[in-house]
Amino acid sequence: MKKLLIPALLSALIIGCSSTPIPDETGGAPVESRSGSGSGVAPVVAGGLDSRGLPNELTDPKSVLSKRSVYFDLDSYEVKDEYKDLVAAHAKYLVNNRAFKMLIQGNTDERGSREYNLALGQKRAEAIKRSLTLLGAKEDQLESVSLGEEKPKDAGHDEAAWSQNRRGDMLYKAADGRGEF
Amino acid sequence: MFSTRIAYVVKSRGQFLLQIADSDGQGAATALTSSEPIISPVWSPDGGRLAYVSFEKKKPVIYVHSISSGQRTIVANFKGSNSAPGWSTDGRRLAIVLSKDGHSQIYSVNADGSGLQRVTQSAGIDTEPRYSVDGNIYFTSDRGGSPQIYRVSATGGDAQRVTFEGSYNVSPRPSPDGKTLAFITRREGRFQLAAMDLASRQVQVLSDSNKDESPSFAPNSRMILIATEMGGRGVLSAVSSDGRIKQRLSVAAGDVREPAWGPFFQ
Repeated sequence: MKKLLIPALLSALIIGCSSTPIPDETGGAPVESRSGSGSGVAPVVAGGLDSRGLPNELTDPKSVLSKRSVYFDLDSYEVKDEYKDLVAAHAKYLVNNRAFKMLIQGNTDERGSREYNLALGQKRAEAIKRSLTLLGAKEDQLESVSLGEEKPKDAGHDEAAWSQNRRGDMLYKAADGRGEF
Repeated sequence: MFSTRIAYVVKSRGQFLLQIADSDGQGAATALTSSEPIISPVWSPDGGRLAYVSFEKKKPVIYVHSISSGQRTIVANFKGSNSAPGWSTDGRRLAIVLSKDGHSQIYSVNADGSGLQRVTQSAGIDTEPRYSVDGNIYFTSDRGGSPQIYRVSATGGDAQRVTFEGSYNVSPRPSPDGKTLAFITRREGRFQLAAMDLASRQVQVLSDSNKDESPSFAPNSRMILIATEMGGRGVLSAVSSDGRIKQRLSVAAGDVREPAWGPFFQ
């Protein structure tokens, strides 16, 4: 709206300074009417915020950015091809929103030492972080940490559950400190 | 009269409780309650403090907790993960694991969080550091391709590999007398308590269960406390270091894990 008003105000000033009144060929509409509901103006609703203070585009289930999980194969610490587009979408969001920060939490299945699993989860989080930085996200926007086997998404004790728990999650925080971590 | 206490973590109704009890599991008192996980408690050599890892900040952070006052100090909260504390035998320093430089490596730090020094420099994972009485730190590393136990001087330098049998040997715990190394070995998909005689390098598997974790020596070096699973629930068990005696501890209901046997106190 401001961009529309400035030329209108300028032309009003020019008209006002002119010693010889120039007929307003555009019809001399009052400035105020330009901010009214004229035709040819597409109404845009700027992104609202969700209950945690994040833009809806990060949490609306219809937005690709609402998808935050990258799943890993057994004993693997590489981001699979099927998640490259998702990671790229998040990298783009971080590039366009430099004030936003992300916490990447790596997870493992329950088998083996808790502390060794913590280190393995860290490798998964680092792999996601590396992909994001290669696509332009800044080091100071990102923190990669591990939850090891301590926060399973699926509490079961079979491969179906374990495959859900070999995972990295991406959490956002806005510039005002509100968000998911 | 000397006695000992144990610490462990109970998961109950979505809460994590760090509890302290007599070494037979009786007389439990809760030192910390959290809605986020607590792991890796270890006793200071004077028996007055516990170091542990808490996830209350949505990431692993190392605390030292004074048991009588309840006062908590953050020892390490660097960018990334902070985990696996192990006390030096004089109680002044902690060996810890930080991922601040990208991957999990071993550092040492004063108990108040000052004086950080890096101990290991490897391209892989180094974790689970434990000081032994001979001035070394035993730790788990995947530098050779699979997780194995290594030993390094507490001030750093070249590490020597200690375990060779099998493809998964983790959670090293040198005994207080320095003669035995307890650890967890994976054999045919089962995670079992094992002990190595450090003089002869002979290894003996001490348990016949599937999910042993987190061994902890009694101060007399004769018994080892472990977390294991029974009926889908975490329980604590004490095993003699020759494997002959096994005793389940009767800790209150709930899922019990992460045992730590404290020092003698009077």
